[in-house]
Amino acid sequence: MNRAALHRALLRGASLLLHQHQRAEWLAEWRSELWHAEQDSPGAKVTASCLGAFRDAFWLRRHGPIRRSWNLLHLDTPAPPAISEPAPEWMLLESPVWCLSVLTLLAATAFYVALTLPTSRNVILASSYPDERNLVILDFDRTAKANASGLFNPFPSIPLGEFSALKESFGNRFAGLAFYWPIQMRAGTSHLNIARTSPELFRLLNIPLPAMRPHESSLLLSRAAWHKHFADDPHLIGHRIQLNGQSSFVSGILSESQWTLSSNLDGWLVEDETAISSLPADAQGFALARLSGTPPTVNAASGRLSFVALPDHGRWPVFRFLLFEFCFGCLLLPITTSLLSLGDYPRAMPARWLFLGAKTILVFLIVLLSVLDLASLWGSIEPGIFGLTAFAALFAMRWVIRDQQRRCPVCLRLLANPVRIGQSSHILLEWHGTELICLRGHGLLHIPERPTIWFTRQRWMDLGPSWNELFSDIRAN
Amino acid sequence: MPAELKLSHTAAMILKAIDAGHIYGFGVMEVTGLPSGTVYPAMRRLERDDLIRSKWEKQSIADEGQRPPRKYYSLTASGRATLEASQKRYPLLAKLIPASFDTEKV
Repeated sequence: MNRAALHRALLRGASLLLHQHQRAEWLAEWRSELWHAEQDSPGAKVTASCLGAFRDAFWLRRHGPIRRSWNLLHLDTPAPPAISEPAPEWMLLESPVWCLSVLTLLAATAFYVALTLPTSRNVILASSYPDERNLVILDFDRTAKANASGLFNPFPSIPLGEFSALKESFGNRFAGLAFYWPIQMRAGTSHLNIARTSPELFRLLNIPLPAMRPHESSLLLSRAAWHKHFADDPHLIGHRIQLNGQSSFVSGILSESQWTLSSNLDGWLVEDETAISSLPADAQGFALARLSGTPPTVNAASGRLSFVALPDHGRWPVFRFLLFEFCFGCLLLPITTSLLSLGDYPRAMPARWLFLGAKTILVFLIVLLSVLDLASLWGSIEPGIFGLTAFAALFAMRWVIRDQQRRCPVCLRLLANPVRIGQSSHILLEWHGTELICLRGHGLLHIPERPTIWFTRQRWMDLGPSWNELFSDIRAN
Repeated sequence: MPAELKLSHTAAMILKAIDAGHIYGFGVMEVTGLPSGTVYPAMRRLERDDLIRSKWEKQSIADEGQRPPRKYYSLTASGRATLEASQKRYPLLAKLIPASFDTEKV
């Protein structure tokens, strides 16, 4: 195939990209250009020009049909956005106020979702108990047990008999002592995990209790159990239900934020002290105590008494873990994104840093709450899910930095009109890269394509007052 | 005039080339050094934005020269105004694009 035939074949091939009604005029123009080009400079240069016809045809196909008119190329479709403006998806973020508003809206949405999902709501609303450092779990011969089993139990249990003996002999050395015994009980067709306990437990934890009826046990249900087993029935409170065949008065619903010690209880059967002491002596439960000052040294019949601090609970352990993961993600940031360009500006511009700080805080909240939402949807707060925080933080902070690098340091709007300057082969003579301009005329940003020793990072150049006239229309808007 | 400010460096070069008398696609490619895949889509975009207009050469004139008719481009009034504004932004534009000495009459 000779070169001229090749050129015609290329044009014919490119024309197939076009709609049929576009083809004739487009081919006529290109064939005419080809005829003239072959007259002036035959050879590879013309072949390269013909290859460009594919791009032209593709552009035409995407952006509009040619009307069947021999005289004028006319594009019927609405004009796409100008190439020099920020892409449409970023238009909303172009203004700094809008950018912060969008981020605030996202954070608020994530917060709202977190409050509507039960697991994340519990984490957010869960709080510590008052004077928690004096609250302890009691255990006997803890060191000996650990030596035998090879690990310390963070939430040890003791039999009721040992607790009763301790209370009788040394009860006056504590500001308060309480015991609860988790046991499975049947309510109709459901089986509930119920903690049998006395009002003292709730006094220790400073959880207000509804008034009890004399000589009658009172049942508090967890919100989850109320929802799961009783379909959120509001008439249940104040009525009696049968637990293991015995009538119990339902006195209220306890929210998950109030009880944060263990999550697998469906309810608390609050009975008077006499009823609790009549339970089997080998009932294995948990003994809580409130210390008053220095922990006393107690050597009971069951061995030396140990005091175990309450395990981490409430919102702070979860948030601490999330914060750690977020910081870990930020530490990985320099691998993917250059942080050098954040400070290379001719003068101090505090608004830039305030804007960066506000964006970072909002992104931090969005990431944390979104991961919490995701964990809630997953069904449980697990460290595996929280590992996502590091990746989310990495991508989110990468966006924050890149967005900051592309903003005018004066008006904080996104820069526009990216223009490529120079060529790679000119690297020894001058810089090559991209130039962006602030549409309000505050200045130009030069971003080198490849860092060199004389042009390592992007530079901002202020435009003087002589440019004001050129941008007066835009500034007025 | 916001349109003046929306012009990229490439588009400004093409506009300047047409103003300098390089009034068809291949001529613009030659003087700007830009490839055809850049020049033709850019020219269509400029025409869509009403900065340039195109016109086919009369068949009779082409027949006289024993060649196919050619499509010529010229600046519109708004194209001329945009070019003026662009030259303020890109002062080297005038030096980069020399005037054509063999401007053909349409």
